[in-house]
Amino acid sequence: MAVESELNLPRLVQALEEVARWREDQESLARARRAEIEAERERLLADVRELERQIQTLSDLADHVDQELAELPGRETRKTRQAVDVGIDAEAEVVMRRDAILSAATKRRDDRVAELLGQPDVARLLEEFEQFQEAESTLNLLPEGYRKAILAHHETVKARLQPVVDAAQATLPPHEGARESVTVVASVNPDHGAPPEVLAVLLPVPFAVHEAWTERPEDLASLLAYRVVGALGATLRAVGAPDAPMQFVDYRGHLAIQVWLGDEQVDGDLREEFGAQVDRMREQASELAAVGLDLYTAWLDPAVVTAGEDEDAEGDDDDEVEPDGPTAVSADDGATLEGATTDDDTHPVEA
Amino acid sequence: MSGADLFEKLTLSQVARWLDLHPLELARVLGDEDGGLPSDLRFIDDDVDRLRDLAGVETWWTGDLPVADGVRGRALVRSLAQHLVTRADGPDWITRADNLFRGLEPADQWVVRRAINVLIVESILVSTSRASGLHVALGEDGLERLRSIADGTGLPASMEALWS
Repeated sequence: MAVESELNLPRLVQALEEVARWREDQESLARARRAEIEAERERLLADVRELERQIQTLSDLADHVDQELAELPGRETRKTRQAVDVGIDAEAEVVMRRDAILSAATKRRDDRVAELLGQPDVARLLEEFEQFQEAESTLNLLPEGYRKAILAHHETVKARLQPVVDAAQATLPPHEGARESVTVVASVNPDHGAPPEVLAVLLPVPFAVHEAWTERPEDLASLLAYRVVGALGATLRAVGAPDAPMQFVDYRGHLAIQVWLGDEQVDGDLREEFGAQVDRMREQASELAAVGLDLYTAWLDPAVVTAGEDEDAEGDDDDEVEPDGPTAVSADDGATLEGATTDDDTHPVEA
Repeated sequence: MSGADLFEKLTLSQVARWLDLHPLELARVLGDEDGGLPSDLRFIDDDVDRLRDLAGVETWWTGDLPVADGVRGRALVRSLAQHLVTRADGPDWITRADNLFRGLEPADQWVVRRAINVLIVESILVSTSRASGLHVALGEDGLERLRSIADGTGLPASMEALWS
């Protein structure tokens, strides 16, 4: 009967019901689409969040790399300083090893002199020579003829002793074995542009060559220090700053030399001039030839050479905080006889 | 002295000892000279006098003090002033600071070195750095004031601590 009733529904009602069914279908379809869209949106938002997280990670990485780049000069300085510290220690051993060669060569020369002096006729001549020296101051009391005869005889004795003199004063022969080299570490501060204020030099020789020179024999380390100081003197003269104050500093037990140029008019290229002086030294110094030692100059950033000498150089560079404390001579230093630096003309003499 | 010593050349350290200089100071003086350091870093006796002149080394204190005074410290200070008055022969006069006490016994040197500091602080002397070491020159009216120190009439009060 119901079918009959539906069939009998008025057409308008049927149309309205049709609309109602259509709406339900549409709504159902729309809700399903809406759910799909929402799900997709959620997926995309999750993707965006993941991408944002990745972007943030990349940004953090970029910041980290930027920081590493910013720290690179400081780390390079620390690593260079460590390399210098290790190298200078090693080269100090080279100097010690080569000193043994110098000692042996000197002993050979001394032995040769002793051998000559051991010959009976030379021993007799030496005795006469010494007698003359003892009596020399009283010669003018003697009659002229007698004095002239003694002087003439002394000249003969001297001539016959000449081989001994030659042997004693002979320059040591060049070393024929393998050669080694050491470095003179140098820096000019400021590095570029502005007029130089400090010239610093670090040597692979013990500070004792300065501090305790009266208590130790003059060895290869001493000679090397004399040579480099002489080269610095010649350099300063060449650039018109001959009186620039020079200070000797203990750098981890090694000798560092610092020259204050802040009050000088430097006329010339310090690096070029000092390099030329070191080259000249390498070519001419007989003791360097006698031990087969070559010398090179390495110009470094002043931060490396003028760093605090109290720094612990043994630790890993990445874990270290770079200590401040440049020790370069400065205008604030007072002059003393032991370490003259200057800022003006008032320098009390250290008592 | 052995026979070999008679003929051996002097090392730079030995020359420095003779001249009462630090060897590095002497090395700088040699470097500052024309030609620089010699190839063989050893020297004959004649070099010593040349290097003494080159470095400006003088020995002022030999024999008796030039000024007599009953108080040793004051005698030293007045004698120092007298030495300076005698040697400072013009406004351009300058000398090594260590010439002012070279030749003195350590105890006397202690007094004179402090006296030199006072003279510098009082601007009677002016110190300046040279290649061959620290030097001193006369300050403004330095010569007059040194004369009054030498005759005992112008001793700075700050010096009295040196002998009292």
